[in-house]
Amino acid sequence: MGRRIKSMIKCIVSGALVVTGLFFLQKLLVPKYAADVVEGALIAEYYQEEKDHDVIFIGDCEVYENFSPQLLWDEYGINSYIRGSAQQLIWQSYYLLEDTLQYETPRAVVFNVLAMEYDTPQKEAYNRMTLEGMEWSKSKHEAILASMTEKENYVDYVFPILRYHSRWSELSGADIDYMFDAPKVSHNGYYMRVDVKAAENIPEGKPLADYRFGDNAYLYLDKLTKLCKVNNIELILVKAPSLYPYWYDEWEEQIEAYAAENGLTYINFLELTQETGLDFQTDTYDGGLHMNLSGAEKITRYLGEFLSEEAAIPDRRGESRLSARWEEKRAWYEKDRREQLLAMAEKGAKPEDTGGGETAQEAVLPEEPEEVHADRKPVDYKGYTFTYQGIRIAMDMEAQPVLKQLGEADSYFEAASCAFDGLDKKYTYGSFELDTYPGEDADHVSAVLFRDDFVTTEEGIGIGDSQGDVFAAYGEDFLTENGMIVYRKDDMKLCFIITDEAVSSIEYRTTVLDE
Amino acid sequence: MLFTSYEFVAFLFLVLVLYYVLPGRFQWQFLLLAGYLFYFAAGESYLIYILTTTVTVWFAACRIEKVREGQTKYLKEHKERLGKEEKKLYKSRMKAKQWRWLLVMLLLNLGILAVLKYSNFVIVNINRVIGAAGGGREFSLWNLVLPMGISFYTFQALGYLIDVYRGTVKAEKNLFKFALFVSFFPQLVQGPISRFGDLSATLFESHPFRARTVCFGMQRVLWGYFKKLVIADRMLVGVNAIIGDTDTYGGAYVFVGMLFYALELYADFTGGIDITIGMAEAMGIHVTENFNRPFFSKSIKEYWRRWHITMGTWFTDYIFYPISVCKPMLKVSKFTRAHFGERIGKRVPVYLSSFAVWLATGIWHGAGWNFVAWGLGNWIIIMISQELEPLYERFHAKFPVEGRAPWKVFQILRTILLMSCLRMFDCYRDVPLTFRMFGSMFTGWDFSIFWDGSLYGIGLGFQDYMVLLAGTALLIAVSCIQRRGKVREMIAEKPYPVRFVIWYGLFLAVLVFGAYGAGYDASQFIYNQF
Repeated sequence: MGRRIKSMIKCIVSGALVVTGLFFLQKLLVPKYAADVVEGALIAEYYQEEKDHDVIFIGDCEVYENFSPQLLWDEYGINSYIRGSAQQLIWQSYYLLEDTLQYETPRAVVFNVLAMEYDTPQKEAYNRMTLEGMEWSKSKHEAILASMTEKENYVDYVFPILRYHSRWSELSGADIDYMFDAPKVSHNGYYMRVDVKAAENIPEGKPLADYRFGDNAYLYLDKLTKLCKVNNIELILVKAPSLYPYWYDEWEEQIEAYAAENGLTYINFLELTQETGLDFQTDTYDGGLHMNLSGAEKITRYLGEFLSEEAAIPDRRGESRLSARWEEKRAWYEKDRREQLLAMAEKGAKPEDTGGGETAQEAVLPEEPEEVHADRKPVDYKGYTFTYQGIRIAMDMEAQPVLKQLGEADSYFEAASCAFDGLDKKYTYGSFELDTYPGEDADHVSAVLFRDDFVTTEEGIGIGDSQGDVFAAYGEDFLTENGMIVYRKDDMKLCFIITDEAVSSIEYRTTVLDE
Repeated sequence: MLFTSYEFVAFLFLVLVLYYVLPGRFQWQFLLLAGYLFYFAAGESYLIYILTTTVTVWFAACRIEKVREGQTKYLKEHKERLGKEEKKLYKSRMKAKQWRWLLVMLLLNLGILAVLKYSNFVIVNINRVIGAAGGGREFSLWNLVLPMGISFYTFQALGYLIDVYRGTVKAEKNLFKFALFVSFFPQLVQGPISRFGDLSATLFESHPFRARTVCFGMQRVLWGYFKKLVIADRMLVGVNAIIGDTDTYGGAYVFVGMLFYALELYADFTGGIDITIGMAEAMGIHVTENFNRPFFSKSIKEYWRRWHITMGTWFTDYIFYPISVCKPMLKVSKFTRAHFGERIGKRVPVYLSSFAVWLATGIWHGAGWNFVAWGLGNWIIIMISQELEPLYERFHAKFPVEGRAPWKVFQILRTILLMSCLRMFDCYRDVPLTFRMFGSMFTGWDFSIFWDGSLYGIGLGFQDYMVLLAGTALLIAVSCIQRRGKVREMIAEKPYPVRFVIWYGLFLAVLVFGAYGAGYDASQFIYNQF
């Protein structure tokens, strides 16, 4: 054998070994979304499906936790699928629909409008859960470009090993078990929960400086509308009946106006509790944020009626092949429900009193190194602070000592929100509201919001004071963010909303969670 | 564009491909373009400074060369006509002319460096003096940006100019070739401070593609990334935690932080230099070595001959020797010999010149009293060890331990500890704080931190320590093997599967255990800041 041929063989074998090694290593290191943060597996499951759906749902957790495609089939013969993921931003929904249209053209698309609240990329962890499941296409490429936060790199999406390399220290048996084949976690994109946690003490929405949805959000809503029109798809806008995050009247008006202007149907389930029979004492598993199976089936039933009668989506139960497929799905649907009930029973809990129905939205990303955590260490009294009856409150300080001093709150609310990993907590004390976020080992103060003019800042500014008073107290070296006057100091912001020359809202906020 | 960024890796790949695709005669022009692109990416405004240094130094060198050529020609033409005194007078006139060019360029370029790097340091100190004197008015600080690598390229260019002035190097007539010497991108960030004679030998030549050359170069680059990403940047977390909270981390933590910083700095700087030399090597260009296993030194003096070699020789050649033989110093020498005897008289000029060198070395590293203290700390230790030499000799005469392994180990450990102590000035960046923390090692020592899990509290977990331990062991093993020869050449003699496993294993180690990407702040090389 000639020397040149030997060299070529050596090169080819070496190259193959390198690529194979990297492939297996990457498979091992990327999160599997099978045993813990299952929401991350939802998007990828679609590609295993036979693609002839009549209805496609797109949106965030208000879609994949609130609508049951199984019920739509069982009761209306509607073949549907949910392409939803945690905090799915509107441009991600748009590109997911574009991606879906490469495989099939549904008759109707149901889009949940809560995503309109976000105008810019938010959090890498949620981006990853949506985008990593997508198969490579032009749509995925554009979705990544539209979604990346400042700290993200495109190349990390192309070669996820570059992002997840530090997971080597967190690998578990599940990483090997599910290296190539992870179990299914959804029912046509629906994430089932059967436990119950009644909605209580739902907080009012914080006042916003500007209630108008952002230009980028509108841009993608327009694109979505156009994409559906071009493909002869009926676009249906919905607002799921989740009580939190708060849905403002001003937002409602904008969506109504948009729907009317574009000839779209808009269904706000928050206003249909009578019609759907929804009961927030029994139909939610996390205090009003997301529906449990009972709640999801109630609102799906309402939507099914609409889809069948108004949108004329055909009943396909007569198709034997399709029926057989759904029959299999029904078995797994029932099994999942039974197993969840059984698991609760084993823990000695009844469905109605399980409580603490926290979604498994713990960080999917490798644990941040300590230098990053170091930023979250409580730093007492940094930035502008707020003093109430001699109790001084600073952003990012450990919450527990302050809460103890403040005594029992007038009301308390906790939620596993889409925005943070873990539980947000809100404590209301008459004139102000104190929010916390979960730190590494304890809760830390994330915000203080004034509710009336009985309290003032340490510099003497309260609701109702003039803009001039604010400038006199804090100077004119401020930033303007979303129509608010923002004074930054250390890792916090002091935000004022000025309406008609007078202060209408004052809020202290940490910036640690902005990153 | 940091060496550790994806952008740089892509840039390097592209440069390498194009470098070998281009005809050989265009390779150096392409490197010039790449260098300027690299510098432009670091900061558009930086270009003006490097261009100023390049053009002024090149022009002055050409003028000096022209004066010298004119002198040679004149003397040749008037060989018969000129008397000895006339020749001498003419030569000294020409030398003065050359000196003026040199002086103007030294003042201009060192002036740029001084203004950009030290003006705020001066202002702060003036304000302190004014404040101490009871004055109310303070000068405001200047908002200046320090261009990347300015200390390195300024010294490199001025070294060349001095060499031309001394006649040890011929002036480069081609401005673009000289511009490449100043802006050769692999060494633009953190040196080494190359000499024109050394670098130009391979920089402007054409280099046909040779797989072995490229492989060897990339192997060294990979080793550099291992040191930087696996060891230095992982250790950085612990170092930052300790020096960032001096109230919590005193006593034994200071000792740990001191050793961690020494190792971090070594892995960081030598890793960066490995990347630099490896990149150049992959393009067939030879860059001077900057380290020779410094942690195996048995004295501080030896350490400085093996650490940042190009900087040490620069200061020796361009500061130590000129000061040692300058007229005022000769007068001082004469005076001290006359008044204090031969023994002291001989040493005073050496000590004074060394003082100047170490002061300059300290200031070169940064605008702060901590760097001054660090530089002078080195000077003091070297002087003391020199003064104690007779004592050592008496000791060795009585105890013949010299050359024995335990004694060697003791000397090496002593040097490491001394250097690590001095590095605390660099680490804490505050002279009184450094002394306080140093003192706390003796007053607040608590052994229990080594076994009660406290060391997990500085941001490094069990796995991190394991990686650091393995990485450091590999570092030491490679250094030991280097005593027997070049490691890459030894590996190259092994059968192909062994070579494959070694290099692929190293690549995977960097890929998996490297502290890079999201979650880790892109940490620039420590020496980029100087």
